[in-house]
Amino acid sequence: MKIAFYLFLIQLLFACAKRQDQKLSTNSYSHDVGDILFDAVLDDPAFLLCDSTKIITSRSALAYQGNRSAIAQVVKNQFILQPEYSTFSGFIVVRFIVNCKDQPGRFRLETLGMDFQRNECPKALTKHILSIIQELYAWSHYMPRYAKYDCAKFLNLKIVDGKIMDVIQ
Amino acid sequence: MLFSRHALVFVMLLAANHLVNGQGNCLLYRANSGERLACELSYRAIEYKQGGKNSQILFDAAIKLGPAYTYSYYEKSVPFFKRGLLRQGVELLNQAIALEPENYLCYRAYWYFSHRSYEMAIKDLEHYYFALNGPARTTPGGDLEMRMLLGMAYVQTNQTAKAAKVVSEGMAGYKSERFPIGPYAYHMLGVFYYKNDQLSNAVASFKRQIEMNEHFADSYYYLALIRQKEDKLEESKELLELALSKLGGQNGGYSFNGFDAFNVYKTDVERELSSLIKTNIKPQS
Repeated sequence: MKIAFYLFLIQLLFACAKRQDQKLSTNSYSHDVGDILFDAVLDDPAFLLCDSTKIITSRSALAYQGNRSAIAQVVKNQFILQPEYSTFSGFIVVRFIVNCKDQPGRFRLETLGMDFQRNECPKALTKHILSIIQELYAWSHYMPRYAKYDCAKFLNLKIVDGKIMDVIQ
Repeated sequence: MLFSRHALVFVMLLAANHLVNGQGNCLLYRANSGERLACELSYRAIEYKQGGKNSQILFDAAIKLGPAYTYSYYEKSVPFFKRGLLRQGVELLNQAIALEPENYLCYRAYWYFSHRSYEMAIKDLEHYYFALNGPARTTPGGDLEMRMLLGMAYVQTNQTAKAAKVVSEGMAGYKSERFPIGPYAYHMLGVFYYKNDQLSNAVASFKRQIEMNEHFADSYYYLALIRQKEDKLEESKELLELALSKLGGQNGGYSFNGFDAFNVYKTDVERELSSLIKTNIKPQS
């Protein structure tokens, strides 16, 4: 009987341990999957958000030079093709935030293959693309109802043989 | 009258799409099974903001408890795609596709297509329609049957003959005039015939589209391009003017930006019209 009781206790202990295991840590979650958290190495500390808990993620929230579709041509015009870029075909996705004062910041860049999986890209090309996008300063809030909010934005550049084919947003 | 019928078809398409991509009934799964728990948690997850913290926590719990329940991967992937986190989105969706390709291949194809990854979209849609013999499916918005995206991807990769063939054969197999023909199917078929230089078929298809919905501007524009090719310049001019008034929203006219590179914009119509007037139509004396 005593042995059975101890066995029961041991079993209970394992059951509790297992249950503890199954609990998910909720601390690692941000307000939204698209949030770009401040990184002291990458980001300018002078770039401030108005309310990081209420970032607008709508893809039609922002315009460039007052026009939603102008951005593609602006990016293409700034691009200078170099021979070493030609090894890359795939996507260069740049995510960033335009704050409520229409200032851009917190840029993040990722290079992908046509299947959306990670893909290596010449560093000179990513550096060039990032500098083009970081220097775009004519962002504005397209919809008045979002005017007071910070907006998340992404630009996806489809590259074929080192050339920009499309800018998808 | 025509427009209300058009609206009804659209609502039916949306409803049909929801049934296909919807979550289903959790009671279909055995009580206390992983799938049942995952299904119930997913129902709770979609009560919260898509992509928000609560939604993500609940989907992660659902995936942990019921890894064979595919809807959680799919629904969790949606905000990642919408926010440009394409790698994270596709990694989640790939898990749903590995378990139920027939239910989720079209959604991956939709995102590949939206980001102009045409070869990948073609690969998924050919697998869905030809290897799995999948039934008609619409885009997430319900506007187009996925075959139209396959057709557009074929055109973008210089396979216009395939686009016209696959879409016309697919549409011939549709069982009903209402679903999944949809509000723009004949327009799309017309575009594919036009791109493949089958001009009389294209005219018939655009006319059929206009019969179904006289307010939709884009079909008039394409008809005008065909009339130009046939040297019927006066008729082309009239059609362009009609397209322009529809694009301007006159008398219920409208356009719809769901056709990728085949969208018709006001600037396209104005350009055609001014070049037609300048070079081809002599002033009436």
